Amino acid sequence: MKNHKNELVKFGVWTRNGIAFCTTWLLIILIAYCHIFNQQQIAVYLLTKMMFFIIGSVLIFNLLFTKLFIKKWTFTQRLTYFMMLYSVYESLSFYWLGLFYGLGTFIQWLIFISIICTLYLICIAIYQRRSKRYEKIYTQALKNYQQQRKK
Amino acid sequence: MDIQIIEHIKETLSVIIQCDKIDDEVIGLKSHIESFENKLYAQKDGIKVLVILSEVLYFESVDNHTFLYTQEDVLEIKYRLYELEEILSNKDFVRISKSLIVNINKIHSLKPELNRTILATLCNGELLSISRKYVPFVRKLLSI
Repeated sequence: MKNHKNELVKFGVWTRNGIAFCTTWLLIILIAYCHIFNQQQIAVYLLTKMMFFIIGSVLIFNLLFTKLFIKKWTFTQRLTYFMMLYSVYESLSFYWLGLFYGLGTFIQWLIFISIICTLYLICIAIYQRRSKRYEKIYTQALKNYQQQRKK
Repeated sequence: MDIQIIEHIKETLSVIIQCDKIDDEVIGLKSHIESFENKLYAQKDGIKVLVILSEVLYFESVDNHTFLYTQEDVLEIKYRLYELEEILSNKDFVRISKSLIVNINKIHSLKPELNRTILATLCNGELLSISRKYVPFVRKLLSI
């Protein structure tokens, strides 16, 4: 029960932090975009849609990477399902936001999928590198323990 | 040498050596008694063998039979894994899966895997997998 409450709090905190983080960066990028392309106005409805997009993205991320709903998946499983689910969500959202229109060309979709696959592989590579570091930590702890047992 | 056994004392088994002075004989006797607990009877080809626990790499349960593995040999023992858990020192022998108890002093390295298990490489190069259920116990033992 206590564990469930902790997970619920964690989910809430991650949701709040995620929305704040993404909204901040959205504003920074929008300001930069408007400055570069000399755009004087931003449509409120577009900003509202972007906010909903952000909230949905954060919820998908938290759904898969916190243990509130999914308790026993490994990092690789979570990442794989996240990438799959988020790709679909992102594509649909981009159509809704007007960033995508029509069916698109094969090359465009290939680029889109390539970006997702590249990001996925980068995440796996970072995680594997982290695992190597943990291998050293675990083995050192083992050696220390074995030394203590010998005494 | 006079040997006395006093029964019905509600304390853990202890051996007291009374001597005039501590010489090589007494030290040898003490070492012999200390090493007595660290042995286990196993069986190979119908022959009973006394195995020193420090030589055991791991115990494995297969088809309701329990086997112990040393560097050179594989022998069968009569105990079940849960019985071994009670007999063996839990500081040296750790349950790592439903069918394995490993001698932690015989592990050469540990490598956390992407699927939340830990791969243990033994001193003879053999690989054993510490299952997800038992990873927290191992981590607690090693203070990680």
